[in-house]
Amino acid sequence: MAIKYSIQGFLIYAAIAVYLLAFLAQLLRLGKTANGIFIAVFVLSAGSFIYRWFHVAHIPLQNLFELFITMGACLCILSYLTDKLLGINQRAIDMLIGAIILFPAGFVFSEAPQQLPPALQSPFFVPHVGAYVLGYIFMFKAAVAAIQTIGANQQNRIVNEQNTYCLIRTGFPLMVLGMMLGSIWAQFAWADYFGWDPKELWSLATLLIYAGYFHWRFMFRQKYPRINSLWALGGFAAVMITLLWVNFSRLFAGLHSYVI
Amino acid sequence: MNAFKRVIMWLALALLTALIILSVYGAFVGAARASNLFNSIPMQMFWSAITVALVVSLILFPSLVKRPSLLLIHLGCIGILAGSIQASETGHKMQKRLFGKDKIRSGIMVIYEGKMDNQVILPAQPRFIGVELPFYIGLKDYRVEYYDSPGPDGRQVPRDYFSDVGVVKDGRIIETKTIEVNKPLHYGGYYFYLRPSEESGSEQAVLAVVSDNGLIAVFTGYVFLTAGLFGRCWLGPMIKKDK
Repeated sequence: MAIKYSIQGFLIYAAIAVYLLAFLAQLLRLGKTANGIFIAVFVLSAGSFIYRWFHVAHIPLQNLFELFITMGACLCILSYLTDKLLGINQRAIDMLIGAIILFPAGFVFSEAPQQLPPALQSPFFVPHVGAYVLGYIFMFKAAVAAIQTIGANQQNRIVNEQNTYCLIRTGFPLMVLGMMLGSIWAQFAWADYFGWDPKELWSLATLLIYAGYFHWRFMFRQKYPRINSLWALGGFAAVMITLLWVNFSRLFAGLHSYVI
Repeated sequence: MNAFKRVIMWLALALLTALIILSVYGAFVGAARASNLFNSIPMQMFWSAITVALVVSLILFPSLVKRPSLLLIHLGCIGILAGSIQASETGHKMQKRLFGKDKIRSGIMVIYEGKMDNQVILPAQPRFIGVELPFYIGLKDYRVEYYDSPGPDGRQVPRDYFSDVGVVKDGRIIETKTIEVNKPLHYGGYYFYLRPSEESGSEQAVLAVVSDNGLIAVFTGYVFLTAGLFGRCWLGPMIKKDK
């Protein structure tokens, strides 16, 4: 764990601080002040993302450091859009999640810029990773709603279960799109649209868990909201393994190891 | 939902669960062993069973056919599975037996600068086995471009690899192309990829040769599946809201 004494580091730490401030403002229901802090969160997290983009001269999605910066910026926007378009307000918890997401970018991952290897110089690179980033954020939010479902009383349980379903329904097509684009890209780069690489298999397992969730929910609707939530949490556990464990564990060496 | 349909749904869940467990197991054993596992005879039967189950579900559940998005999702899955079966080693053998079309699934070519060759070396053979393509690939030039600044370890970092090649058939040049990473040559039912490695150097290039069998079905399946999912999960709720 190391502190970054750079403009990039300053932007990340400022974004983390304002994310936490926004979390407190939401908890204390500070109204207009909370909205003002939310705008500051957007400016700082987007600023961190744009600064990195200019610094490395490509959209920052190459490694986990850049991926987490991008997720930190996207979370703020998706939090707003989810509220406005889907009617699901998770603003307070989103702000806390934003700080958690940016934490490893600020203290764990290296910010040293890397040159893009030839395979990553593809028009599929940005849409493949971008679709996954957005999909993962929705699944993160769905997991929060699933935990709320398990802990809620009978009346709120149904509302939270519906929110979980709504968020998974929004994120799942993005994750499938990400996988399909990655697969087409792999066909052009590595001569095989599916290489049975550990990350690919964990991604497949993740999609299959969510496919199982949809089939289960089609069968039982909201009869067993807690079991529905367990499917959602299982899917999110697989997301975390795909995103982090596969890249850090020596157990899973493969094509995607370069993203560390 | 009647009892029979419920059984089919439980079967679908059982197949999904089995595939989840196999995927996780495959992730632990590494890509090579996972590839062998998922292409083994029992797994080919398993893939076929899933394909049949998907087709049966379309027959048994009229709602899957009536709703375009659900139909696209399930047709997409069928396309991906059917294409993958066609692309497999067994698919190639079946093609030879049924249609007499003999194609190798994959192999490598080693071509020297200024020369042309049609010999493809098959992978994982106990001894050298070469198969001749019905056309030649000629190599004009092989080169590597590097980034101006060195990498963190002080060594030069490749920016891209290039191979200027031509397809020669009956003594005539049919097609010329510069193969790069992400930009393979597609000709005669095969993709030709530059394989940057120590074997590839200033005098020779190593090309991976891969059959294009099943790719159209797989990629069409991807389009169907993704379009169906966005239709079902994004467009559907929006239309309902408007109403």
